[in-house]
Amino acid sequence: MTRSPLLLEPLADRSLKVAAIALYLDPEDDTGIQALVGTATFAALATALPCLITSDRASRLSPGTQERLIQLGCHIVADETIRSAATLDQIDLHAPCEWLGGHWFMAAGNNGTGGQSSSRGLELKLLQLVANEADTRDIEAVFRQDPVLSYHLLRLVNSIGIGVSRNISSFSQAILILGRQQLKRWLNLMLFSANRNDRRSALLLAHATVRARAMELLAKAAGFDRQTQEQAFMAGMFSLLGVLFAVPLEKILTPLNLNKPLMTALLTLQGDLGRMLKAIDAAEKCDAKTLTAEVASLGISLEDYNRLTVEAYQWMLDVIHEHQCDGNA
Amino acid sequence: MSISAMATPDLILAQCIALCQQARTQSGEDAHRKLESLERILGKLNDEYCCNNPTWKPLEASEQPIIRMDLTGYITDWNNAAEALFGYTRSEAIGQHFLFIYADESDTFNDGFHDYFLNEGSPYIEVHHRKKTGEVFRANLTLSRIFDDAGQAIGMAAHLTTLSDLLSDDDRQRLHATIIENSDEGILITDRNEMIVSVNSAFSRITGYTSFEAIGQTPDLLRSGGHSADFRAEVRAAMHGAGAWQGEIIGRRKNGELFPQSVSIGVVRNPQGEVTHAFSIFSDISVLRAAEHRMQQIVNYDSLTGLPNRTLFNQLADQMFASASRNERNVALMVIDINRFTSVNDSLGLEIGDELLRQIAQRFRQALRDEDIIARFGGDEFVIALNIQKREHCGLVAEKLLETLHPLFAIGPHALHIEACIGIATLPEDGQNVDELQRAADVAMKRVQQTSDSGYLFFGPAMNIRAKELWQLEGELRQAVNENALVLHYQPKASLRNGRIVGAEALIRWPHPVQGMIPPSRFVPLAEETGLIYSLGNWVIEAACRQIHDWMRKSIPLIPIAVNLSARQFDAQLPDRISEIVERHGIPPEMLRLEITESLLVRGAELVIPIMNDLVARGFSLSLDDFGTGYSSLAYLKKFPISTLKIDRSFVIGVPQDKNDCAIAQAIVTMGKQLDHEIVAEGIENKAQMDFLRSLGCDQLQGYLFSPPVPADRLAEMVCKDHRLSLE
Repeated sequence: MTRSPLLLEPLADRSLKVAAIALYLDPEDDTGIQALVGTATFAALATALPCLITSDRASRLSPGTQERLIQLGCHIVADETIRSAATLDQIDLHAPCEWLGGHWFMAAGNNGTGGQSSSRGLELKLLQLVANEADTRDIEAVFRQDPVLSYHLLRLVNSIGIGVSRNISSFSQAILILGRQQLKRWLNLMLFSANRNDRRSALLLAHATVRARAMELLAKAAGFDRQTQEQAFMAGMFSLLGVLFAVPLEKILTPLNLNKPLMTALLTLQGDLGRMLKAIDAAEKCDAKTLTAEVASLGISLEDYNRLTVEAYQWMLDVIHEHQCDGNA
Repeated sequence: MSISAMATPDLILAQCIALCQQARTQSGEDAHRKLESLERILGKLNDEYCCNNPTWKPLEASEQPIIRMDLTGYITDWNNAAEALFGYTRSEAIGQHFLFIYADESDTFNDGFHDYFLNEGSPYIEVHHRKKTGEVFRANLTLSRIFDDAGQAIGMAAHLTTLSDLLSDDDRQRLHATIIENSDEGILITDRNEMIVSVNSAFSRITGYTSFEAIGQTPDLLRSGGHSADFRAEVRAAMHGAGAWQGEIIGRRKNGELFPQSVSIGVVRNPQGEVTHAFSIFSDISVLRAAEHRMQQIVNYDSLTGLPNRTLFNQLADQMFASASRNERNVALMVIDINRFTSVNDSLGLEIGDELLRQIAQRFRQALRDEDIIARFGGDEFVIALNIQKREHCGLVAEKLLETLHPLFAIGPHALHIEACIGIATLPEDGQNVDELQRAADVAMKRVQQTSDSGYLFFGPAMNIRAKELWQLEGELRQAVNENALVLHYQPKASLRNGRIVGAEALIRWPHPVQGMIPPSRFVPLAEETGLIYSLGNWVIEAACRQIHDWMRKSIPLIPIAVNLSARQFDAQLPDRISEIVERHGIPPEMLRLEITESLLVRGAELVIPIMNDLVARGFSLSLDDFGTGYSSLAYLKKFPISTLKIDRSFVIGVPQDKNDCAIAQAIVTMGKQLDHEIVAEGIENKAQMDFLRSLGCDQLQGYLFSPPVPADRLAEMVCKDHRLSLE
């Protein structure tokens, strides 16, 4: 029986890219990690990127658990190797720490206009898919990887979508309304306008990606149907748009004409989706108490929660990995 | 191009760059002219710069249409010239996305034009646009980026690239007239009444008709009689603006000689977009002997199988019928339809489909006597006419034909199992001529299709008797639909994660005044057969929406309601019909789920997929019912915009005891998960079934284990009380 939630945090290296994952284990209770260490998803995560546990936390785990974590590829590191910063100013790139945590990338003024840019690699990939008459689901999969690109898609569809105003409830719906011809023109236009590299904060994108996927998996675990799961994904993905664009969230979301439950969740954290966002937010802030309460109110066991958290991080790593491959190509 | 027309530095630079690019691909006089233009522009630029007067005309004053937009394509500025060109005012345009100028395009409107839009990094955009006034124009835009002082791109500007016009209107008209008259190809122009209003001299040379003889006639003047009604309808549709058409038509010269011609048909529209004239440009391709031979083939034989086609078949069968009635002999006519041929075509490709038809034709031909006539009527339909001693004998022939299909068809790497349905009608019992017999055989064939997978049937009075019974029931059903005497029951679906109710399927019930509750299995197929399914289907959607609206009004928590759609309902107007009902009741589209069945595919994937896409674009989600029972092919499944798969009850019954059923259920779940579909198991009656399917990873359950279909009030009560499926 798992008694505590698993708290994870993506860590940056000195180039401010995602380079490791911190595992904040409850030293008083290792039931959570006990249940996870045997799973394939956890093993995959630990292999994909260094998973770090600070030595003071590790020291209070049972020797057996410690040993298994190390076998799986986790590293036990000195406390001071992970530094936490709330703003970019607090980061001293010359300090002798190796890993950077904290919410420095959320601080205002850190993203500038770079927030509006989307990944050129993804745009090229989409253009290729459109040229090959790929299935809608394959095109949708690319949009799911980038909050800015999908934001622009929804805004465009609302701007030029024909006929009665509709609430868009999935990316595939948006792609179908726009039509392939317009999608192709739009991608060409975006590519033409781009003289930019992706200057967005990799950590911020990583967080948005984890949020989106974790929301989707939470909705699934809570027994909601597919449509609600898609809405949950959107809620997670768009929840950081305000930070990304350095504009109030409400202002950013208005042109998207999202449906009411989704808007309510994003702006007031109310409703089913709102409760899930609260849980995700608490997880990001390492607030185990709120997280445990929200997860329980959704009717999800902590064991399931821990498993889906690992899965969400795994997905985030996959997305990053794919971007890097595209970037190198 | 005069420089005074230019407005801003970025546009002038873009113009210079464009001139350089053009000059690079040209030589001699052309290149020289481009360089002169370049020099002129740069000179003027220099003058202005030297005078220390770098004031540029404001955007509004420019004579050239200029559109400015931000880096994401939203329009920030739109001058008077753009307003004049596109017909949208500044206030209408600003804030819109640049692509809005394409928003009102219809597919037919842009048909045949290559869409040139910044392809492969070029700065050019070709706009083919209809103004608000209806006037159509083409314009070439050049796109450039706008930079701030620091060299950061801050926006984009599109401006018109005009091609200088070297011809006066008079010259142009004279030239065009001369070119038409002297063209080697025959040209024929008709007005909107299909009356020939003009022809050129090549027309007269090819057809033998003078312009005097042709003008005032319709193009039927050249009709050979060698084409089907469908083909002629297609050609006529092109003449009325259905889209450019190219192809070969067999014509008839004045001297009666047939000739093949290669024809292009197009239309001319007035500023309102209405077709005023149609033109055909054709060349005589009969000069080649091979072409003449092919013409014979086209006229009389099916090019794919080498069998006679409809035209030749009708001639030959007519002869056979005539001689049969003289000699008082029997003639039978069989119509054969190959089952699921479209699915072979769609999933394995046309080439495999073609080869299959060739092999089938060969086997049929070998099974028949020399004097029997077999023809292919296009598609997968074969027709046979044969002399017989007795009516029963044709049953033997039909069996023999079905038997020839038993050995697998080996085509490339595929081994295909093929079945067919045969309908038989005989002279004189079922009709007096080829047409009547064919119609009767067709009815019999369709009956086979409805009742079993393959086999044969004679057309006969038995069919008529059954038809009468059905006719009565049909009348009563029609009345029941009109009088709202049907009811909907709802079977809830529960989540297999926590047991909560996540939706319900609406199921129709018919309380018959005399016969009691008639199960849907008895009247739905009847409705399908008679076309009544159309209004029955609408009734279900209407009733479900009314119910959802009622729940909304009473503030009962909403769950999505699924309704079943029949293949018959699935036409291009379906999305509009459903939208209309949903909007009239004021319910969000996501509250209505649409369940479709695999049998839809008989209508052809290329027809149904766009309709499905349209439905999804309107916010409805689709689930595929009874998955695994019929036409399943992964190739289809991947193309469908569905979000949910339902495992058919027939696979659920056997689990977890029956190894086969378990394997099938496992395969369906795996396939569904691969495609990221939600998976619902229906017809679950006991816990063992639930446990097994839950362990496979099914998301939802529907069945008596949780709840039978219940009246609307009972469902609302279950939802309000958060009645849950026990998973323990």
